[in-house]
Amino acid sequence: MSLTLGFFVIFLSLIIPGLIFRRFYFFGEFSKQFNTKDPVLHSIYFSIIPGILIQVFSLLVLKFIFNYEISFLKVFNILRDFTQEVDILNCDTKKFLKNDVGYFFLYSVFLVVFSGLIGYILSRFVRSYHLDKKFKLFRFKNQWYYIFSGEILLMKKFKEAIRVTFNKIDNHDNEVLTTYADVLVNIKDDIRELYTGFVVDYDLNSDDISKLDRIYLIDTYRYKRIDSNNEYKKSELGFFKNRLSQQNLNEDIPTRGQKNIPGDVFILDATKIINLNLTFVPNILKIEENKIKQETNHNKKQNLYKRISDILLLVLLVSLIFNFTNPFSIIESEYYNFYLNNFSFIRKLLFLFLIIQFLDVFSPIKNDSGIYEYKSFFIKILVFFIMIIINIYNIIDFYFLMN
Amino acid sequence: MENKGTFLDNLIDVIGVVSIVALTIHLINNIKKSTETKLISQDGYNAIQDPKKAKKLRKVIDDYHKNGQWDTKEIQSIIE
Repeated sequence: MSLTLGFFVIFLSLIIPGLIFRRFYFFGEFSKQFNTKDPVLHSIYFSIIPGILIQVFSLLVLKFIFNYEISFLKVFNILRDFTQEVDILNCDTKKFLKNDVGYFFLYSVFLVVFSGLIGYILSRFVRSYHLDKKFKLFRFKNQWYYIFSGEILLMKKFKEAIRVTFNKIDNHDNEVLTTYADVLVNIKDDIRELYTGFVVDYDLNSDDISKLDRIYLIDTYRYKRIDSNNEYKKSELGFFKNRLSQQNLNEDIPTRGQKNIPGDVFILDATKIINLNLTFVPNILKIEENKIKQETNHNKKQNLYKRISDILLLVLLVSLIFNFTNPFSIIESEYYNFYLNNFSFIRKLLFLFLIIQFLDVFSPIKNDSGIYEYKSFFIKILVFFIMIIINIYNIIDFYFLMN
Repeated sequence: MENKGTFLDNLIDVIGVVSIVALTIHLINNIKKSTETKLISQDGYNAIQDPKKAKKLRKVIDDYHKNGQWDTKEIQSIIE
């Protein structure tokens, strides 16, 4: 009985938060990765680590944000009593059973809500910052979504390959209008058909989400099988050439030997697919909008950097003047006057270099193209620290002389 | 006088809560929009629903397959 109770406690405390987290983490097209048909042990295995982390994180949130005092020793004693066969219950367990069961229930509800929230936020964070495309660790198992949506082109391997292909539009954000597919399907034995259409949806195999089950196409055409006497030349995967004069777009005759498949949605059995050719049509409007946004942001940034540069230059000029002289005795300070009157020119120069280097850390550099940018930050910091070390003698000397 | 103050406080509290709820909903909608998992964009869907535009789009794709260049003006006219 105690073992069952102990397992129930562990299930409630660790497995359920993990399950809830995974349910909310795998959203949308990736929700198939959370499969209720998974074996129990499989679900437990993948839920236990997120469950432990969420449990620890919630306890920290309760302790530091809500100032709820938790004694981990008491928690340990209670858990031990539940999981082991004990004749006499610990006083902490007795107190818990008498007074704190309601609080535990409320905490469990908080944990469930918190797990869902964390799962939701983390998954959106990963997608928002394209971490699933940059790093394999965050990539979802539903590779077919990345393939059909065109996001696969944002992955490192494909980004490098795409430079040698002929999609020449500068499409950094991968704004895809639609995906056009050429699908070669094996009907039976040696009979094959080639279909083309715009991909609108797909289904995955429920047992293995890496396998495709069905593809849904709109505006589907089948490549027509025609004999050699016909005016159209046949090719399975290549191009159709018209031997007559140029086709007028307004005519109802297709430009190739294609037969339109009437209907709203064409569903292809993916198990019979031999190969698949995809073309991602760029969304020109969105690309132009993104370009304009980028330019605007770039201009704003440049204006800001220019202003910073101008202000720092002004500060430098003022420092240069006041480091060697006190014009019209503007500054009335005993320490400043002592510095001006008692320090040698070389020492003042060293101190000026320190000020210059300090300002340089925050100053943007204008490159050959006239663009302001922050460069070599760590080198500047290093030089600044070196200048501090050089000026330490100045500072110590100033202190002793004053005193 | 006290009742008016209390009423004002309550009103400000209600406005504050409503603002927070509205802001939260706005943030959630923004996050949803930027992270939605769609195979086909709304512009693309609208384009292929129209048979004439779908035909034009096919022609653009055929030309791209032949010469490796996208006819950006034609795509723009299809989307608009």
